[in-house]
Amino acid sequence: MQFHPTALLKTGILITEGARGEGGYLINKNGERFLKNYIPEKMELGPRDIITRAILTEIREGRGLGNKHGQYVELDIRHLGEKTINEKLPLVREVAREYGNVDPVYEPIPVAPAQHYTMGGVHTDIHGQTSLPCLYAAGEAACVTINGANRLGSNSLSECLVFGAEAGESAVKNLNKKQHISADHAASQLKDEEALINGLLQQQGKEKTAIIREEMEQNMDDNAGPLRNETSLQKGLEKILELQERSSHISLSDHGHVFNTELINLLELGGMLKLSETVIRSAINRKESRGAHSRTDYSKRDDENFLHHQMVTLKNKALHFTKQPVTITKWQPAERKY
Amino acid sequence: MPTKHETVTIQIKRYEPESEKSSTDTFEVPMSHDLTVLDALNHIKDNEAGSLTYRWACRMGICGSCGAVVNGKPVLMCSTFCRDLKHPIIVEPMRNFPVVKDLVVDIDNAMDKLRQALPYTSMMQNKAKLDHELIQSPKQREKIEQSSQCIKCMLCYSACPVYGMDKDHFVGPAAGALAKRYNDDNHDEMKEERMDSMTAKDGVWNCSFVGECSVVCPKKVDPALAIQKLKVMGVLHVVKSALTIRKKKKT
Repeated sequence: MQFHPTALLKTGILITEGARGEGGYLINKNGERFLKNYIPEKMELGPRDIITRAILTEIREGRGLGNKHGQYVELDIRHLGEKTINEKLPLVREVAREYGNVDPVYEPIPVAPAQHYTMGGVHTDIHGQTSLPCLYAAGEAACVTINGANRLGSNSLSECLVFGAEAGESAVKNLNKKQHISADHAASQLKDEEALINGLLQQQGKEKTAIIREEMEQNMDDNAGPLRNETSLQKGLEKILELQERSSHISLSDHGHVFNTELINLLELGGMLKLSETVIRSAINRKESRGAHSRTDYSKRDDENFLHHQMVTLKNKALHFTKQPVTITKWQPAERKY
Repeated sequence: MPTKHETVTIQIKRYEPESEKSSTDTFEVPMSHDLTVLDALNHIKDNEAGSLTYRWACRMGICGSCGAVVNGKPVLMCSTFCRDLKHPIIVEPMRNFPVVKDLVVDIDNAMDKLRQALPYTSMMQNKAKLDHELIQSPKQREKIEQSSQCIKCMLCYSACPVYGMDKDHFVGPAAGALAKRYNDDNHDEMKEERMDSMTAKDGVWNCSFVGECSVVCPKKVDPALAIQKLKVMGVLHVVKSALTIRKKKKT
């Protein structure tokens, strides 16, 4: 799970890395460019996960600022001047003014890390083919894997273009291959899905989708964020399992069969809770730090025991974990130094 | 921080497709300085009316999903702040599109019109020709900057009275801006075919320069100007076509 270091408070709207690329500073409560204590060789141009952890640590140790929307540090681009900001960072200025009530030409922008990109996903081969015949995946939803434990900035867009095209062409090429699912099998699966949907439409109880979703968000933020450890992860897991149980007691008010977004939200909540469980269990299994996955109780990378991918499947409603070797060709694993 | 009003009153035009019933529902939402119309709708859906149906995604004015008519004006709900509106706030679906449910409308017709603009370069159709680097200088990029900003929100189609009166014989604002964008692209090799499309019976001619499209565009694309320019180019194109024998291009 990749966090982006600089998102607007409250809305989480992204302030692009370009603001730091053009020369912006990150400042704590004491007015200092605190990254000198974490990554002095690169400062604001360091990798996203390192800067994210730095900001969260500053906040955790009391050197963050705070307002009614939460804790933050300041992104200061005032010294770039109005002309440069309008030419190179117009969207930053627009977004900061409209959604952050701050004009970055005159004031620093309050920012804090926010969840940004999921490196993991549906496993595919290099042609976008999943383990299910005739099903393809590409982009952030998929995991080829080309991003490993930490995606480079800008690669998500190129990933969509390259693998989207490849998956499309591959699907067309394979149209003639005789990969059929029997009509009986399809019919029985359809029946199962209809039963699932009808079950959701008829659920009874007093729980609310919005409340469970908010509790899930807060839980993941508190316990499974970039500064995670065994204690927080176990606590987080317990909470997610509780939320999964409670979500079976949500009753819908919209029983319509046309554009039922309340049902869609409920389906998505179920998916998100399952994904949260997957993220936490994977993190518990991985007793090391690697790329964007960093544990405060295992801060070093351990290639001897953990140089593998974790594959997760769903069997009888339970998660199953297996190991998959990493494809290493040109670039050998080396120590991560800057 | 004390706010002028504790709650804001919101009236929403509803439509239930299975019973074919229209209605107007009124809600009270806790007011705050940063409350957008989209925020208010989400609050209502989460707490009061689970069946309230509307489209949204990015909530920062870039995806174009949340178009609606608010106090009579086509806007993106995520970029419209309740503090700037007269209360009670009246929310309706975009005009000129069939309503699916509540604020969700069917924009297929307008999306089809975008295809009439032939919004692609011939390079994209023929990969074999990609044997060299495709260069676009900052100056060339500048030419298509404004028309590239379109986020396909369709607010311009909602605002256009010509489209409202006769969908079949007008290609519409966004399609016009899109055609201009590709005509102005230094990689484009399809200007002739595109202008054939734009000068057809269902092309740009019915535009009477009302200009409301450019007024409501959240990205300042200025489709009205794009269409006037296409009309001028269109006249030249039609005259030239009539006077010359064009070689049929081999594809």
